[in-house]
Amino acid sequence: MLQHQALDRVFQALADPSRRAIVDRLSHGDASVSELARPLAMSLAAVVQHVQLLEASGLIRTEKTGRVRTCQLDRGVLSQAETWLSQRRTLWEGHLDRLGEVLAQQKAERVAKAAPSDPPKQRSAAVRRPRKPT
Amino acid sequence: MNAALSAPTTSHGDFTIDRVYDAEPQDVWAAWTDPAVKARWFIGPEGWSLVERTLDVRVGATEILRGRFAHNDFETLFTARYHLVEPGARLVYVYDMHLAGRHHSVSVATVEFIADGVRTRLRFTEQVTFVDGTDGREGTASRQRGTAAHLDRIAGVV
Repeated sequence: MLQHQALDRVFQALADPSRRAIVDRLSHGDASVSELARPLAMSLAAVVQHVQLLEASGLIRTEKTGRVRTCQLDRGVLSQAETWLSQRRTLWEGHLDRLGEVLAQQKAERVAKAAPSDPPKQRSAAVRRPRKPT
Repeated sequence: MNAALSAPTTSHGDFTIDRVYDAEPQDVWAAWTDPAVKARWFIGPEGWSLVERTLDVRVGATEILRGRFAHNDFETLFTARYHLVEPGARLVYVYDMHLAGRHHSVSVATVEFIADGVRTRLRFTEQVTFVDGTDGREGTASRQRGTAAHLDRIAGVV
């Protein structure tokens, strides 16, 4: 059975494209924070914050040697099954967001079509009336 | 592809996503059952292109969505069969995912359309069995990368 709280933290950690890029980079091998920062268009401080969040989620581990903090992917935290399930959920969240955009577009199209002399039935409060022609 | 080389493992999971849309249930229903509307949101991510799409929402009828990522020729195939169709209220379908020719998962998806004033609450629940036990390292080249590496790309496979 999946541990939902832990999984929520992982979802949150992976919700950000920069953090996914960091995880992607670490899947090829360990890297220092400055190495992680190099391809990213952000400050070192911002990268440190992302690394801290990833570490809190359990996705990565870090170790400091002298002045260098090395990051490593913790492959144990997400079993393959959990990875698949989180991908599937993320996939559907994307679909349902896009569905919301389509529904909003349809509504806007209907409002645009409605002539000023033809006020929308019911729900008039929810629909912005088109401007009257001058 | 030799299934005997890697012992298949099976895993299960489920999740529910709730969304409230500023639209009436009949419009949200149409977005799931009208092929022209569903084609506007049920698509893959950047880099994915459509190969084949069919949709017939009747009990026993099927839906197909086949696509391909150009950069690595990775094929995605979604095939569904509708089991419960209650207009404006509920949909239950069973779907298979094949990734790069491998049977990846079998799912039961339940979609509930719940009137909420002038809005609609949509509840999507999926119960999934992952049937391909390969862990990515032994899969096809495009699946050899680590945890979440393909989230952006795979996160749009259907």
